[in-house]
Amino acid sequence: MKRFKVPSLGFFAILGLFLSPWIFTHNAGAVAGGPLTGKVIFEGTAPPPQILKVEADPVCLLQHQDGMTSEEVVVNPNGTLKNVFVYVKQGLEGQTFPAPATPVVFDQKGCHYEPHVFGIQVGQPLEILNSDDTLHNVHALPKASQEFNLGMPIKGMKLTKAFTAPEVAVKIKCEVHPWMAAYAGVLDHPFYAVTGEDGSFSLKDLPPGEYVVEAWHEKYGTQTQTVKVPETSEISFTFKAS
Amino acid sequence: MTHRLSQILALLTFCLLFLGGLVTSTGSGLAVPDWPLSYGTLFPPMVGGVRFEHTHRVVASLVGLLSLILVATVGFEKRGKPVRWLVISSFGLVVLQGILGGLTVLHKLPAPISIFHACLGPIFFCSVVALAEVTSPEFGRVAEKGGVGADLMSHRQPLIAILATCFVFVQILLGALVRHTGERIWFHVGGAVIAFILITVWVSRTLGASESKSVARPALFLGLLVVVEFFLGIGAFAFKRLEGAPETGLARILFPTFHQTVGALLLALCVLVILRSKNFVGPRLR
Repeated sequence: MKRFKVPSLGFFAILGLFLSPWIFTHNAGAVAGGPLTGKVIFEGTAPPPQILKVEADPVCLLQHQDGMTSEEVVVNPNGTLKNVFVYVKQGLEGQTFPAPATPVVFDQKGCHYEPHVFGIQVGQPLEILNSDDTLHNVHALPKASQEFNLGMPIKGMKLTKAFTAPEVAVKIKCEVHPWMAAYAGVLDHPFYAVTGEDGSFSLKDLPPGEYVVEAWHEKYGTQTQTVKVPETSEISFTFKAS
Repeated sequence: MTHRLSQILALLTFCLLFLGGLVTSTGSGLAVPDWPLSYGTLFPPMVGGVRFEHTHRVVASLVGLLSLILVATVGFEKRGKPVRWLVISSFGLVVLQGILGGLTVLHKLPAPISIFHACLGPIFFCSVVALAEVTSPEFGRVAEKGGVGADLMSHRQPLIAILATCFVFVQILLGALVRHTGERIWFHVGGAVIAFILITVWVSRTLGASESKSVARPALFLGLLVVVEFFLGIGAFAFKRLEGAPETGLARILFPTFHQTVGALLLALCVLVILRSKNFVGPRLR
């Protein structure tokens, strides 16, 4: 019996040594906690859709003959707000989460940005595409990372950049087409989501703990809530019409 | 030849100042991210903000080329030392201005460089206007007589003339500060009142003492233009603050652009009136 104990301990020690980086980096999911889900509700009368004039570029005009609808405020049919960046603002200090190697794809398509609001981790590749048959410049205006302004004159062109410091939110714009704007929530962890067509969000695999969760909107600003996970699994934010 | 070329250059520079203002007002300064080429070519597709930025670059190149031709022309013509130096310094200014323009693009519009660029443009314009003036046949004849019109060396005229001119320049500087940082607007507003008073006093004294149309005309124009500039400033201020005004609304673009361009024209007119005034600079530039 004693004969088997020694090698088995050694086996587990070696196994632990190999798995320790994985355990350390995946500690969020290893312990039962999240998801933290919810909705972003819009209260009041939705502002009328703002029509953007795109005559400045014939290529854009061809695709949007009646103008383009602004994505600044999009109120969903169910009374929720689209394009709200929800993320853990506090509560994850001291933990490290390596940046995914999978890039976030950011496309210039139909003379607007897809997606309009997105989250990305520090160091994660941002793959910028130009799917339009016209030229664009991609001008990112972070305060914590290096500002960049890239020319993308050719359809199908692809460039890769990355942000080096967390910041919510980094504005990205095109000076060729002044109506084009997008926002990136840059974080050093993966606990973020952007509300879509139903205004819901889900912060998956959030480890147990107390967190300050913030909802950011480009027009209506920010709202924060303090939550305990797993005690709280559902929250909602309400933005009022200004 | 030098006179004709400098006249064309002055006109072209005036257009360039307007185009530069248009670039700032439309927010197109970074529509072309590279320099000296535009999207790696000499002539990119003229769409959106590229139309403003690249047109500005093309006209700036023409101004630079014409300035170089002027340098060559004064070399052939027998011109006095002051004219030669004026041409050479104008060329130096336009080269510096071009480099500053490039730096604003490459460094993504840093406020100090953008403000420097916005102030150097009107200075270059003044130097070209001065060149067109001192190379004119009329200036030579007038200079022989020691100038015409109001005597700048009497009745505290030099003090007012210099103060008014300096204040117009300070206003250009403060205007550039407002344009590129959004700050110090009230300094600019306060300075406008002082500049307005100084120019009005100067113009009224000049018109009262002037017997020559060559001084009275630019002085009168200066007086009228300062009123126009005042209202353009009010318009630019109002449209900037008017809530709900669309980002690319025409009035929001044109008011500050004309305000900036007319500011440069005011400075040039100040220089012109000084040059044409009796016993001031004229005799020394013969």
